[in-house]
Parts: sequence; C-alpha cells; structure tokens
Amino acid sequence: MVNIGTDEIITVKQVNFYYGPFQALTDITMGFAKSRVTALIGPSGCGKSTLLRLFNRMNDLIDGTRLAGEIIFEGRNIYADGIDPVAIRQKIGMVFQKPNPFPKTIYNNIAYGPNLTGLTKEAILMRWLSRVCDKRYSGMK
Amino acid sequence: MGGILLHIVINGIGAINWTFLTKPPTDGMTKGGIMPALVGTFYLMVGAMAVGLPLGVASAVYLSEYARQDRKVRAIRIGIHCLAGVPSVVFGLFGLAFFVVFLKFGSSILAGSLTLGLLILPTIIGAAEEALKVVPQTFREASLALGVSKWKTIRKIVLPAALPGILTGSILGIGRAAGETAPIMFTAAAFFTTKLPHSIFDEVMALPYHIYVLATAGTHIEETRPLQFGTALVLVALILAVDLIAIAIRSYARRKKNW
Repeated sequence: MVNIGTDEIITVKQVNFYYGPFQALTDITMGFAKSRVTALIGPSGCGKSTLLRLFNRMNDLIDGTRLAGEIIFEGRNIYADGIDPVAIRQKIGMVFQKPNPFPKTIYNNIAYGPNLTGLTKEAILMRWLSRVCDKRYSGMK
Repeated sequence: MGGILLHIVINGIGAINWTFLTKPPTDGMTKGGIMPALVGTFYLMVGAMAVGLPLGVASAVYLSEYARQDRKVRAIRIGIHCLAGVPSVVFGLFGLAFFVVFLKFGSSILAGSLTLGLLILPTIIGAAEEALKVVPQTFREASLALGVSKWKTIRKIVLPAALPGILTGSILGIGRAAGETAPIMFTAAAFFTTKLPHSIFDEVMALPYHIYVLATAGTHIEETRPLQFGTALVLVALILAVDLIAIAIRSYARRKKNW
C-alpha cells in the first residue's frame, strides 16, 4: 500500500460506507499516489467498486446510502458541504466494468461528454481525436 | 366488440362520401356533413396533447427521476391512479367550473383542450413513468460519470430513450379522450356551427358530441340515423387511425432500439 505522503492525489480517511443497514466498507484508510497506476484487488463483493464509486460520488445516486469519514481530493474533502458532485465527476473519470455506449453514433458518444460539460464542439474534439490518431501513427512508425 | 363494429360499419358506410366529410351540416342538421365536428375534434386532440404532454412528462420526470421514493411520493402516485378512474363527466364539470366560469375562458377550444388535457394527464404520467423506468440505469450513470448534470442527462439521454414509449402511451390516451363526450359538452362543444373556429377562444363542434346531439336532442332523430351511424363510423375510424400511429411509433422504435 502506498505510504501517506504529499504526492497523494486521493486520500481515503476512515471511511465507513453503508447501503441502508448493510455495511459495505469498514474503516478504510489509504492513499493513492499521483501519476501512478493503483490496482484494487479482492474477491467479488468485497467493496472494490463501492470504494471506486465513492471517488466521483456515483454512490450518491443510490437511495439510502450513507458515508462516514473523508475522501480528500486535491486537498479538499469531496464529501464536504457545498461541493458540487458534477464538478468532481468532471475531474475524476470512471470506466465502467461493462462498456455502456449511449444509443447514438460513435461520434456523438465521444462528443457527448465534451459537449455537455462546456467544451466547444468541433474544434477541441477534433484536436483530441487527431492527437490520439497521431500517437498511433507515430507508434507504428 | 366485433359485432358493434360491424353494425356501425354496415349502417354507417352508406352515409359516408366526400360531401359528408367536407361540408357542414345543413337543413337543421338533417342533411349535409360533419366537417366542422371533424375539424373541432382534431383541434381538441391537438390541444389536449399540447396541455397533457408537457405537464405529464414533467410530472413523470419529477416522480421517477427526482423525488425520493418515500411515502409521500407513493401517496401522490396512488392519487394519480385514482385520478385516472374519475368519471369523465367529473372532469367536464371541473372544466366548466374552473376554466369556463372561473377563468372566464368561456366554452372554447382552450377550455376544452385544458379539460381533455387533464383527463389524459394520469394516462400520460403513467405511460411516461413506465417508459422512464425501462431506460437502463447504466445510461444515467455513464452520463453522470462524465460530469454531466442531472438535468442535462435527463434531457439528452433519458428522455430521448424514453420518448417512443411516452409517445405511444400518450397517443393511445388521446385516442380514448377523442371519443369522450362528457368533458367537452360543457367546455368546448357547440351544438351547431357552420363556421370553423378562428381562435382558441371559439367554440367548436366535436364528433362525439355531434353524435350525442343527433341521437338524442335533434328534432329528427329517426331520419338522421344514417348520419349518426356515419359520424360514429368516422369517429371510430379516426380513433383507430390514431391508435395505429401509436402502434407504428412503437414498432419503429422497437426495430431501431439498440439497447
């Protein structure tokens, strides 16, 4: 486990999490280092996804859940009063277990997030896409 | 059911011709056509949809997407279901008391549309809630996880996915409402008028009320039997056509559905 230090981007402090009466997470304290890949490993149902979903407040969507403890991101508790979960989710992305595209074209699927979170449509998106493609091509060479 | 339909078709088909559909009634409503009633029913249907659809969808979105599913919301839902069972004449009297008299809309397309809109509101809310419920939760999560606000998620992802279901249910509802006599007889329907409405504050003739008038209140009830059957046939055909539109939307959406 990562040592708690200044280069942590996410810090979990004494987190207990409940789905109604069921306690899913018990007293979790850990840190996630910046610019590193950290893997959570465990048997199914042990709470990996629950913990992950706490980082961008996806568990807010489930009725009857309750959190005790703090999750610090960039020095602030993302569960503090006055924190906008929408802003958190724009900074902390998430890839789901199953791919779940919207019933739209692939282009519109890719454009959906940037469009609705305030980035301009064509220009920036095209720059992103071309950047990804450029990397591919340079890699192949 | 088939027998009734057959009876109407056999007795009504003879009355229907181009004149019947495109001319107003003449000779004290013993001859002529039903054009004003046809147009009036069409306006009322469109008006009822314009009232019921936004209100109903907004209510359904609130109930199933925003409200906490607690006792209060359950009570509201039961209330809506009860509203669907209220006899249509009660809606008619409410429309008369509230829209026609209190709000001084008079007997008009506006008052009739509002009354019919309220009548189909429970149907639309029910249909919309069902349609919203079958939109996969993963769609909402995927959108919200991108940092898209809840309202934008609903508008851009959830509602489009639910739209065919909402439309199908609503159109079936409006088809039923189109045949209602009681809600419009006090609020919108004119006994007889040859001119078409010029604004939403004008009275209109309407097919169900026209049948009612011809069959009970006219001076030549027996003589106008063919006209009555003809009008009934037109009304049944109109409702059938509306229902077919709903079915077409549903099957089109099913074929296109990729989730």
